[in-house]
Amino acid sequence: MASLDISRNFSKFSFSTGKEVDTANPHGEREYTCSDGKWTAEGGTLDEFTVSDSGDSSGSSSEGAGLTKGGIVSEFGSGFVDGFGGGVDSTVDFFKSLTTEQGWKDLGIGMVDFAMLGCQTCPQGMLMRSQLANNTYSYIQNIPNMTAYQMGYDFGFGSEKALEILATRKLVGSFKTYPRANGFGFDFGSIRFDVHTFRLGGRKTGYNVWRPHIDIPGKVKHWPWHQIDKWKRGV
Amino acid sequence: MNEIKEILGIIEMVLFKREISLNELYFLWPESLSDDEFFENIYDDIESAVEHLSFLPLKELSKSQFRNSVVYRILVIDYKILKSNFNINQLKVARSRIDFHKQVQLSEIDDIITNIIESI
Repeated sequence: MASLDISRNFSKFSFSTGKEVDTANPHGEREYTCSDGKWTAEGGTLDEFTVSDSGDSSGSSSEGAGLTKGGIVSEFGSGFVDGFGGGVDSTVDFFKSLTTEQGWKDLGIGMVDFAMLGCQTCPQGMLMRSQLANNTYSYIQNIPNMTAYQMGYDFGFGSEKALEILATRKLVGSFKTYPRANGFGFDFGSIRFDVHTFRLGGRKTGYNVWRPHIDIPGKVKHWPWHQIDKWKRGV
Repeated sequence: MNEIKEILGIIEMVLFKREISLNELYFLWPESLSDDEFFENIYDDIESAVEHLSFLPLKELSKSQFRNSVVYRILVIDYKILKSNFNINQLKVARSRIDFHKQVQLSEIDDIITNIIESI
């Protein structure tokens, strides 16, 4: 006996009547028609299947009145897993972007925007907070129209980001800008991951570059560029 | 050694006035010391301090933040060593005995240097 979850993809069907009220397309491939409790697929008759009662067929869920509790949980769980994975993917993409100069520039802009958001007197900060409030309001208004999968996805994505925030709070706290060297970096005291301007090729005759590098105060500076430059110049 | 006086002047500009730019540092540094590793290390410390005079976005450069930084502490040590009345060889020995990464209070630096001087 074939078992088919038909509750997911149509909303007009009433399980209680068992009469033809609508057509459904549960698999996204073929049309099915209900007639006196018997389903007929386009081009043939569908095998016997079971239908579970959803209970409250007049519910307001956007997913459809016939969605079972188990189905909702399953959809939500599926969305959560996908959302969590989406959060991880976005983080991987972020770190990939740090292999490019543009990625570091974007990071700097993002950090400045983040700081702007907290600035109570800046016009830009006010505008950003207003937009954020509008977006939040729109999102909340749309919650009743969201599917369980969408809610699960957003919850999964948000959970992953919340975990990241906890894990990277120290990273954010170590962020510094270096206006005299036109750059920024993450200062952990005994080691720094920086991007700023520095000079290669000698103090008086050299040239300025703007590159990501690692510093260990008192031991290593502008690694690896400074070391490569000295090796090239034989000093 | 006149160069040491010049270096002390540069360090004072960084530590106390905080108004020197990188280009000024490149220009002011006595090039006659370029081949000396001891002075090159001090130059690196000064350059690092100038580069990393930092402030948080939208906030004024914090004097206390700078004074609590590793680069500031290292530069203070360099400054106090150079200001001592050692000859160049003693200066090199004194600096080589400093553990720059040890978390020490600024008030302890004088004692550390005094102990090193007495042991030389």
